[in-house]
Amino acid sequence: MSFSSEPIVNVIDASIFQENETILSSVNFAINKGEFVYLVGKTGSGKSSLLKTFYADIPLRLGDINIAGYSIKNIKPKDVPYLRRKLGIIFQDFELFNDRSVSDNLEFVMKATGWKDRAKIKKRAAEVLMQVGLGAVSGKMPFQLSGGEQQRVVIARALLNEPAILLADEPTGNLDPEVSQGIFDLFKQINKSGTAILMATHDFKLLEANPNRVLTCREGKLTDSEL
Amino acid sequence: MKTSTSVKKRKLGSYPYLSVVFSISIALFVIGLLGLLVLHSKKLTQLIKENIEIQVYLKKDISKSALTQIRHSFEQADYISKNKEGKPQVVFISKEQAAQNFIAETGEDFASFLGENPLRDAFIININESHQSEKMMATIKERILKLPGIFEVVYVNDLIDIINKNIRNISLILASFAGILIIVVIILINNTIKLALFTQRFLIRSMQLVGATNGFIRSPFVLRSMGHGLLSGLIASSLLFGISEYAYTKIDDLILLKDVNHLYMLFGILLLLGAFLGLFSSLRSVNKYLKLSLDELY
Repeated sequence: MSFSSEPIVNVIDASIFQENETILSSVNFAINKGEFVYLVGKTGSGKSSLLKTFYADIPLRLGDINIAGYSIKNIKPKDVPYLRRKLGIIFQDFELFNDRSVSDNLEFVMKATGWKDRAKIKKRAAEVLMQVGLGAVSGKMPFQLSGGEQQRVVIARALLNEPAILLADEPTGNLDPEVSQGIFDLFKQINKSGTAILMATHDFKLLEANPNRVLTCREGKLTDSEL
Repeated sequence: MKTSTSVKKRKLGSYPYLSVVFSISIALFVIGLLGLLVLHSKKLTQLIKENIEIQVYLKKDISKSALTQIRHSFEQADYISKNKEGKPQVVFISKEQAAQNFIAETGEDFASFLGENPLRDAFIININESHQSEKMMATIKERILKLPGIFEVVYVNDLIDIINKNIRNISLILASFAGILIIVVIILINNTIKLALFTQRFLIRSMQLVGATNGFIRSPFVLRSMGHGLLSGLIASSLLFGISEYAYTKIDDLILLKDVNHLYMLFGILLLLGAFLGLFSSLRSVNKYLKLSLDELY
């Protein structure tokens, strides 16, 4: 099956909930293959909730979202893992494990997602590390890396299963501007190779320096810069 | 930095297992004890039942033809047990024979000072299992007494009923004890796994985020717990084996009730039961808590 002609994300009249309150209503937008989209809004405006709804961490109660070939509204619990394998999730509460090396961090994810062949695991881990520009850190422990390097490893981890889209929540949140730009350039490079990116951010300097389509969450609505 | 590079890797599915193994072992031990009791008592009743007999004493002036008639009616009766060749187990002991037996056993020649043999001719008949209840034995006695030439009918009353009643009581106590222990084990495993899931919630959360299936997250817990169940079964079996061997040397004639095949079968059942107990209770609790958001656990 190919979804190349269809949008990767298609949100149809969806309402996003936080606990039991509607935080965004009548949300409609689509993201196509290879698009780069910002998601902005104040803290608590519903950015994270929207992303969580995408990967079925929060149930979708109204409307529908089609993402990477799955309908979130009707998704069965047993399909959720397979949906998530098609998404690269870069999230605040999803840090590297400090008790194992960088390559063990990556291998852990691959084993958890059904990779069996040791040789292939090693090869893929090396590939994604090269892709994020970290060839020589695989044996290091996460705390031996700088903040920027750690974030690159997190991105590498998200790329392992060749996702159709990366969902990134504040990926440059705790980094200084120079490092932020480096990480951002990495996202751009990944985007060029065809992976769509939806990035929630507060970093308006980055936005101004790298203009793209912007979705804004404000007062319970989502507005699209391209409409 | 050196100390921190040797941080111990947290392993998914590990939990403090000592108390779990200990409690499963105890539960299985009690169940095994119950099993041993049932096995031995079954063998005991079987032994007794094979030897349940009625002694039928005849009148002194009985004629030869009446004797044959009585023997014949015993051989036709449905309550008589048959030996391996299918022959009814009816034995006739004449008073002379009985006297000889008596003298051989006691060494006293009563005939010399009594002047005559006070004993009576008798039939000893074995009763088959289906007619051994107290009620049926009484009916058989009635039936025999109606035959001509019968003086007295004697049997050991309700021995089997007494044994059965006692065994039933002890079994009931052991079974309820075992039941309570199993519940304790299930609750303990549940709590242990709940705690383990909570301490490993970041690991599990990450696995869920990257798309690990629940089965993948579940399997280390379930396999480990099954292994511990097996280990507990082994511990309980060895304990029971030791105890029973010791008892055989200490209690006279208990060895008569030993049945090696059934003993091994019991140990096999304990192993399986242990594995099943581990499997069932860990599966139950992991499923329960994976459905919750892990942060909700506490």
